[in-house]
This record gives sequence, structure tokens and C-alpha cells, in this order.
Amino acid sequence: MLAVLIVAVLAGGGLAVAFGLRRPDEPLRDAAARAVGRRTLRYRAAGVVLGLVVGLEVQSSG
Amino acid sequence: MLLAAPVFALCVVAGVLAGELAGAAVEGPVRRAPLEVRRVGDHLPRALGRTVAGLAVLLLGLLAVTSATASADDLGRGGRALAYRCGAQLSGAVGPWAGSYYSVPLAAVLVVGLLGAGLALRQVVRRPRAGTTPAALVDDDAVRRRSAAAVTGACGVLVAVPLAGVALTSGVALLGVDCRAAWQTAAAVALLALVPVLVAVLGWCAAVVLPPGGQPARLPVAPRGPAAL
Repeated sequence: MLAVLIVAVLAGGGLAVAFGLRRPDEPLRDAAARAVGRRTLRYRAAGVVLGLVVGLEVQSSG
Repeated sequence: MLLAAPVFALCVVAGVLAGELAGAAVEGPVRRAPLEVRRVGDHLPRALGRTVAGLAVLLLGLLAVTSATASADDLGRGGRALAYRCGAQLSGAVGPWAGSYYSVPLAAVLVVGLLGAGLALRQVVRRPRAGTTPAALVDDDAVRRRSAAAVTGACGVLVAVPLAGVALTSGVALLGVDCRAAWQTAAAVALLALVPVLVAVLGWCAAVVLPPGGQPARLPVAPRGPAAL
């Protein structure tokens, strides 16, 4: 199952970029916006890690 | 797996919401803010947003149909099998079938997730501006678009994985009916064909959620002076 998900992420991400559905992030020049961007990214990354841990726990217990 | 993916999506949405709420309040005797109207729709990724919305409608519709047609399984547990009758002598039941036993908790998680996503998107557009210069406005909008895209991608995970599971089990169950009609065969094939599409959508959503959005994809171009020529 994990292998399928990894392949799905790679294939879907590659196709999304190839077809222009996802553009590379634009650089942020403004210092205040960069600070906000870093803060939101940290919290989002924490949510992703927490989601992976809790999701795997739910999966293993179910 | 039916609940693990929605739980993952809920955590991502909570992370985005916490990031939007964690900013320091603007202070000082003189504060500046542009006069503008910010809408959620202006920050959402259009293609992904429409795809996720369509899949959510499809999932809720499919759950409604499977719940309405479900029966008890051989142990008497309601909403877990699809019963059929082929004349007076032949009858049976196939499962698992996404009846109320599965659909009610799944729908509850979906509603909670979508409400949370709505709350996060509302906060994305309501967060105060980081600055008032033209460059700050452009970059601040870019940060908002990244957050809105992450929430949309999380909603895609929230919807795509359960929909793939329901489509797969429903398609297999329909093919297990001995005396199925032609339309049931067509529906089963359509449901099974939906699964690889959903896997691709899942990859698309994960590609939006997972990559770091705070680092520039390319460095800003430094202004060139005469000495650099």
C-alpha cells in the first residue's frame, strides 16, 4: 500500500507539473511576507508529520 | 485506510489553520492597511478546487446510494451487505458494501473535515496583511495562495481515498451479484475504472500538500548595475 501511495505521489506530482496544473512557487522578495511564509510552512509541515503519525496509528489499529 | 486518510487531511488542515492564526497581531499607534475585498475563491487553485468539489459531490452521492440499498450481512449487522434476489429460488448477499455501517462515520468525518477546511480558508483570507508596499501585497497573496492550495489538497486526500475505497468495494460487490443486470455491470466497471483516476488525483493533491512552499523555486534576479556588465 505504501508503495502504491509513493508511486501515486510521484506520478501525480509529475503529471501535475507536466500539464501545468501546479506551477513552481514564486520567490518571495518581501521580508515580512517571507516571515509569514516560513511560519505557515512550519505549521503545515507539523500538520503533515502529525497527520502521518496519527493516520498510520489509525490504520494499524483498525 | 478509510479513516486514516481523512485523519491525515484533518491534521494538515489544522496545521494550516494554526499557521494562519499564529501570527503576531499588528501593533503600534499608527497602523496601515489597504482597503480591499479578499475572497476565498480568488486564492483557490481553480483546477484542483473544481476536481475536489466534483469528487466530494460524487462521494456523497455514492454513499447515499449505497446506504439506501444496503442490507444486513449474514451475522445480522445492518448496513454491511448488498442483498439480491434472482427469482423465487436464488437469492444472496455480497459484501462488504458501503451501507450505513461504513457511510455514517465516514460522512461524519467528511463533514468535520470540510467544515475545518472552510474555517481554515476563511482564516487564510482574513489574516491581516504583512505589509502595504506593492511587493508585500504581491508576496502576501502568494503566501495565501500556498495555504489555500494546501487546504484544497488536503480536502482532495480527504475525499479521494474514501471514494476510491467505496468505488472499489462497490464495484467488486456488484460484480459478485450472480444475476446482475447490464446496467449493474456497467456501473461496476465504471466504479472500478474510477480507482486509478483517484490514485492520480491523490498524487496531485499530495504534490500540492507535501512540497515546501516557503522556499523560493528560483532565486530572485539581482538588479544589474554597470559594474556587473
